[in-house]
Amino acid sequence: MNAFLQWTTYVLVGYFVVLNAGYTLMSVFTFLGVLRYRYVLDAYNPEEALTSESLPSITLIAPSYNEESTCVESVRAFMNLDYPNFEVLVVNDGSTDATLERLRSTFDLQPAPRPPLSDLSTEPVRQVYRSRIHPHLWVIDKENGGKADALNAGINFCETPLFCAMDADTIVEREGLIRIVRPFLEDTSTVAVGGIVRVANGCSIQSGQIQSISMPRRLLPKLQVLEYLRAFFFGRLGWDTLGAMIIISGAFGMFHRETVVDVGGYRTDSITEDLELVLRMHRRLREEGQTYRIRFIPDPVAWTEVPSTFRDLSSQRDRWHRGMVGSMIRHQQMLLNPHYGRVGLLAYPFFYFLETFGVVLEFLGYVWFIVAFGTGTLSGPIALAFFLLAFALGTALSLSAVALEELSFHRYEHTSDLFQLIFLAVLDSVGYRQINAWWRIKGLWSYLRGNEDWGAIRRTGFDSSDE
Amino acid sequence: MWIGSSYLFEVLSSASGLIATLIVVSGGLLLLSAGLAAFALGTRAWSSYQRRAWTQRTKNWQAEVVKVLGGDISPRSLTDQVQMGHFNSFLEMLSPYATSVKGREKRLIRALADPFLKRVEANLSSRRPLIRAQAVQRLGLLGGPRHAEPLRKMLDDPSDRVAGRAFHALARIGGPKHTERLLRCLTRLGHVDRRHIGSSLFRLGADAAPTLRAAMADDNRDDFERICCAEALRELGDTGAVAVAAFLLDDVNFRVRCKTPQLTASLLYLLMRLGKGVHGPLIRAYCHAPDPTVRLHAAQALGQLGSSEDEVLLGALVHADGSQWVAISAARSLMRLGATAPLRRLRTLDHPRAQLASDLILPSDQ
Repeated sequence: MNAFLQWTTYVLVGYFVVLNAGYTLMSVFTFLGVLRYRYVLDAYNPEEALTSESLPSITLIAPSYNEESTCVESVRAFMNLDYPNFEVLVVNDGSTDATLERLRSTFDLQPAPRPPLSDLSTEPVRQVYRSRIHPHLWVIDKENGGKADALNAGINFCETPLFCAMDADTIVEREGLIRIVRPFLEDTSTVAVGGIVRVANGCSIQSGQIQSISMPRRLLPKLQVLEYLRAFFFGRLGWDTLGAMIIISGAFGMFHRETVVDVGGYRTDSITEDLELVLRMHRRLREEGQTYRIRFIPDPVAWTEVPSTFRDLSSQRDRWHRGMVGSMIRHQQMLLNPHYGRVGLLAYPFFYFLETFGVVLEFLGYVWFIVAFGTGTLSGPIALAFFLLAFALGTALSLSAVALEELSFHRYEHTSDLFQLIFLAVLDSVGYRQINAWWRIKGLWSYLRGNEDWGAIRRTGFDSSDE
Repeated sequence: MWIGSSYLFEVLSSASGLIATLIVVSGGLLLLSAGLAAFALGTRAWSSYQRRAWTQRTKNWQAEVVKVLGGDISPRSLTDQVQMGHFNSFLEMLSPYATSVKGREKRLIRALADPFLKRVEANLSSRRPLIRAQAVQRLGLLGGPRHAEPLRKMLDDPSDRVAGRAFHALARIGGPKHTERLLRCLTRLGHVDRRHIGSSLFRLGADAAPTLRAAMADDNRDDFERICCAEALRELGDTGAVAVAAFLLDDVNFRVRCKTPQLTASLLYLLMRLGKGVHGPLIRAYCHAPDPTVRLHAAQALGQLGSSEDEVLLGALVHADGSQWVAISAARSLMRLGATAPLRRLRTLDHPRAQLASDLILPSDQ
């Protein structure tokens, strides 16, 4: 029994050390990436780029399912983007609420001819509409088939070399498109680029644009602000610096259309279709020996409403983790496979062992900690010291994300918001991280049980999302 | 090393040693956390102070810039007010003007920037490519013909990023005499979007057209170079390029030697935009090219330059071309020519493209 406990301890401590060493390394790479990126930004002038005569045309594809409270606001935001030639394709995925009606009446939609250009399999399209107010706005009304299916329908009707996949409840900043297109202009081997997604709860929004940025009023969205900062800095910018980006958020990413069509579009049987697509692109393009780049850049910003109740957040995290497990298992051929370069040797093992399945060890660690402390196997002082170490590590990592935000973009201009972020960095390690581990364990369990439920999240609309 | 490890193991094995180690590491991390929090707060305080000062300075400068543009005061009277330490902020403030004004106003903005561009030029020899790229970008935006020479040298920079920036900057301020030098640089910019390059060459103006035309016709040049020239000539609306493009497309040697379908497609695109009905027969021949990109451009061009004679050919493309993109382009060309009969017939048939025809012709259009 003693030997068992001893080995369990070794495994759990080993996981703890490897995970935190990984995070620490990522924070170092992120810091280097941020410093470097400041010069990249200084040498890129969006106003100058906008004067270019031949920016590639872009299609914004926004799947929409029961988004009656936010769809009009979002479409207005899309139409106000600073970019000379783009179309907006809203795909109404068989909404059962008044989404289509609201779009139809607000934007004066009329049936219009438009044939599909590729044949990714989707649920039937009922009608294609075009706005008489904004000729670049199209709405594709189709039978319900899920987000991936709606995105595929949008891709079928996309006529431009690049498309931007986004959630209909996402607000992209005015310069978002001109910034996210930059890597495609600078290097034609770029096939996908992700932008940063930030929390819109608490911000004031008018005519589909963020007017002022401030922290949410409720605790749960506040904690997610910090969580998003960590995720996008360490989980994206850090990996981009290493040249091994494997996640592009479904809320805001730009893709080379033909590459996506060639790999078969979004998989409709995956819950995290965004992660699955990027993994499949890496896999296929590597196997075909193609030169390609998948990037993350932190200056194009999209704002999204995050869940503000435990029930919704739990459902979202359950779904995210279920999807991640599925995607990781589906493409595990890349795991530690040198044929897939840095993705196979660095990013995939990190996400596979530490982020996806490591959660079991993390959760067991919490249980073991309590049991060992309760049974006296772990002495009080050691337990306290170990708890202190975990707390200090978590706090240091969260604060490094806050420091990086201040160093680079400092979007939260009120000093009180910065104090809140610092306080949240301390709070995050006690409670929120453990609850998150529990939700992810539930996600893993749901995956093993074969649960494919999407888990609807209640949208309240930007104006009231934080009340 | 071994002694050190065994000592560490011994320390960690004893409860008190382990506790002490954990506490020391945690203490270090908490100190680091406090440092990071202080760094964040310090950065905030410093950037707030800087922003306030910048806003105040910018406000004053902007008011003066308006006076300079209005001819009320000379550029010198404003530049004399700017301290050397603030030159970066001043140039940053001028950047939006530089992209939005032309002619006399542009010359005035350049005159305002000029006294500070020496400092920017110094950064061209920085060891860090990103700093060189930033300097090149600034010179391209705010500099004048005087800065063309240093920018020309930067085309040979070891970093492709810097060379790329120098290409765009020189095209912006250098003028047509640099066309040939810019074209020579294109061999190392093959990774850049061709439209982006074409757009920069377009800025050289109509006087660059003869050089661009000659380069487009020269089969000793790289195909990418020729494609960029075709794109730029099209944007320039250079009617002289039409004859060159038509000659190339008609030339058997070109058809045999051209390895890049995109070059043929760019020439067809040029014809479509600037050509005339007389080029119809030439374009028709490319509707049967093996590459779908070429067929697509040929079908599109026929919609612009073709006639009712092309109804059969375009109808055949809609019916039988292997590429959906080509079929749709052909169908749209038919509609543009007002020859919708093939589409109306097709939609009544049991044919895989019947749906395409239905999608293009609304019931109300019947």
